[in-house]
Amino acid sequence: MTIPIFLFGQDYGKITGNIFDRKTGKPLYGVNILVKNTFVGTSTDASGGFIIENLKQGKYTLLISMIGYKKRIINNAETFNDRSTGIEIELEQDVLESPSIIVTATRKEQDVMESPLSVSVIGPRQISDKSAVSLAEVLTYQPGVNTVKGQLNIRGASGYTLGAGSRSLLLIDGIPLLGSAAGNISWTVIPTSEIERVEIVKSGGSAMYGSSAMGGVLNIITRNAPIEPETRIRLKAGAYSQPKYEQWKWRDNPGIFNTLEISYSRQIGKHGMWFRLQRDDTDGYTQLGWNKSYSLTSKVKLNFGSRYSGSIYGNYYTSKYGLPSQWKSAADPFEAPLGDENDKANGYKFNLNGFLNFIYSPKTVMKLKLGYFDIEWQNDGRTNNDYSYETKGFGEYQISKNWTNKLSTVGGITTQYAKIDAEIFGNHHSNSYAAYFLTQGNLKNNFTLSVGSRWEGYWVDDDILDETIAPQIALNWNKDGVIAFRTSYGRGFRVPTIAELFSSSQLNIFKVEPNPDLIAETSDAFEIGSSLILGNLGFISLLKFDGAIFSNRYKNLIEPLPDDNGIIHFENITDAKINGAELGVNIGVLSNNLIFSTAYTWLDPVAVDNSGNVIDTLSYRFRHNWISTISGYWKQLSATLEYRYASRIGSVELFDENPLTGSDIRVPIHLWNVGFGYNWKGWEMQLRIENLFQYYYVELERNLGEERRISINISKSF
Amino acid sequence: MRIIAILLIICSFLVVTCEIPVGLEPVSGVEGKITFHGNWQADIKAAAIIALDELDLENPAANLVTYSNLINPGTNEAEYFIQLLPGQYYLAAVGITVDPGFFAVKIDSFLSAETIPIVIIDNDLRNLTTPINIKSQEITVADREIVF
Repeated sequence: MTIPIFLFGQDYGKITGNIFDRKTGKPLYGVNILVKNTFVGTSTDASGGFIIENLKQGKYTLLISMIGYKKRIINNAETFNDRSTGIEIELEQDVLESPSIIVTATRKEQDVMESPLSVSVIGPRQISDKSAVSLAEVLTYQPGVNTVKGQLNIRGASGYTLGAGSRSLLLIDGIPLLGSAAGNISWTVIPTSEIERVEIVKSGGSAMYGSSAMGGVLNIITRNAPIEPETRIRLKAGAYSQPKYEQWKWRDNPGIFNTLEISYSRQIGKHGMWFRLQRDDTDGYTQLGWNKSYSLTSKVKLNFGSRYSGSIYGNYYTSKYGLPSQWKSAADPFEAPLGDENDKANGYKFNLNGFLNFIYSPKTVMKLKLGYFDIEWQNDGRTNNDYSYETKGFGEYQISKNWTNKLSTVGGITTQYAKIDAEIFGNHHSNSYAAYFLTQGNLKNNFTLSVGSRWEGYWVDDDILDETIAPQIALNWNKDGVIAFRTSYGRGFRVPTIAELFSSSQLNIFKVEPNPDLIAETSDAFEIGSSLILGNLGFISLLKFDGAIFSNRYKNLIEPLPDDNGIIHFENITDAKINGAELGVNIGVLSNNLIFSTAYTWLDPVAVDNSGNVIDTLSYRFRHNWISTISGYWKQLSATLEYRYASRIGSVELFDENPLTGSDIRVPIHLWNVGFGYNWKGWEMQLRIENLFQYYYVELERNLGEERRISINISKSF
Repeated sequence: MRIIAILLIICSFLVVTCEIPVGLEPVSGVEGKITFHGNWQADIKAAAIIALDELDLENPAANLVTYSNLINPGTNEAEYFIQLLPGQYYLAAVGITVDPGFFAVKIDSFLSAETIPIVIIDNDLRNLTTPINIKSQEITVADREIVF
């Protein structure tokens, strides 16, 4: 099936072609072909063929990409009036398979080497190699990214905010997925096995995506249905080890867990769809770590001829789960506090979003995005019977215009509305309006300059809370997709969430009280980075390098702080800065059958006074992070060894170390994971052991990190 | 082969020379059940067991090592735990006369001023004057009964 992107007039030429696998010679279906500096693109049909029509006479550059293959750049593809230009293209398999075409950094498709901002891209292979059920398991192995008790941290921006706010924005297919009240990320609703790629934008501030994006953006691009009907099943089952120390044993049998997924996808006429049902059941590794859930997800990709296309994505997730707060004591770190053993909660999350793409002319594309999010939870605890019901709507209109082959602009307007009825927040509503633009110009000598800005206004209970302007400027230099340099400055901002403004609850022995006087926090983010991709260097099949140094300064950072009376408020603390550097290297040898990846991130997260003097270390940040993975592939076998190091957290908010008693000691994190895979007649089987050496640590005070677990993952497509 | 040999030598060197990191380990301390009889005094906002390195109930702040988890007023029975380094300690049940959060935040100030907002509610002299010995990675069990 070929879907020409536009058909206007008759005085144009066209490019046709066929794309094959270099090794097998077989035609490739679903290869993306993008005409550089235009909005024109298509993908190959079942016979590997493609047609790009209505191109004015001239020379074009084609970006050819497909997951699992090395990208190709075809220069000087020439078109002539009313004539067809034929091209035969071979693609070479690439086990590293990091997707190379991204969309998040500048809201338009471009090669990752052309991005003016630092972007990490995760492909489906990196997810399936880890047999991941939660995306958070994969993210902690990306440079500059980690989680603290499930809360996403990109370059240390978020720390840990008691689940009341996030400085990293989560998008699904470009549409925000944060809850309205707390604004924190729900990993549970993300269908990890249906992900085509994950793009992590680590710099640039809020110019493109607004509040919550000041610390980075995580955009999850879900897959489209393949051309042939497909049914997939996947079972992951395993067990947690008993604690290494006899003193800590708390149950007779090991805790078990299992995940069952069934998905079906097919084409219906020009349209494609898939749906997926997932059931999770885990005992957890702690007494209140249990969870039972169901998740139903579906996506419909709509193609209405050559000028209109769209997508509808929906997810319904329901769960019952234990309600953990902290451990019983350091002597019994897996058990719940006495009397809380039966604390539980239940709830559901519903998300429906979609977009409609309209190609108005070869140089103008319009996009309408709509989203609806509904979340409800109810605690059933000895002392905690809080509830929350939230609903949120999102709308955005975006227009992209190519003024010339070297100058383009993306702009749009967006609005959000959120309403909440909650025990701990009260009844509130909020709404925001924003307008943004980003202009990119290709300068001489392979430089690309990007200039953009965003205005956003935010109201809570009909009172204006803040109005902010967030500019961004960035420069990229890129030579033939081999080497690139980038530098950027971006202003970021985040308005306080309803949870931060109005939370009123009890956290351990501390009361949490509202602070409606909070104002928005802002950031100034600077970055310089470079990327290098080389291939065929003797025995080295592929060498990838990416490095960056950054300096992020924050004003009025919102953090939870206990006051002199032991009452926690979210407060605009004095200013802060996070300087840092990250370096990642991927090396493939023996025809990429042996791959080594390593990345190091250094952070210096400090609070400063008005004069810039350091007054404290920001809490819940790791100063040093080091991740390494070595993977080998031989015939139907594969093996992976992973190591993750994170230095001891320098500062916490509630329970500091007590050297007199040895309590609340914090240690560095050393985690080893190992996995073995085997493909038997299309049945993919994996054995994984995570936290191989049963290393015990805390990321958050009095909450033990995950126990060793052994799992078997079996999947099959029909 | 040469590369594999070099990698093996490097790995062997690392295995031999590097210390295997040890994470959190079992702790030492004292735990037990604390039972309350009678009516709680109105001015007590929480109860706890304190550990003293010297027995001087006239001035507990001078010898206070740490205190247990805080117990809500009105409780009839609860468990307590105090993490302690190996050594000899005296235990005493106390009532805390200020808000528990305030007590936790201000404990360093109280100790440096050697005045701490607690009242001794432990009226068993034998328990108060008998030291307990804490051994490495062991939890000593000591129950307490409090009569208001």
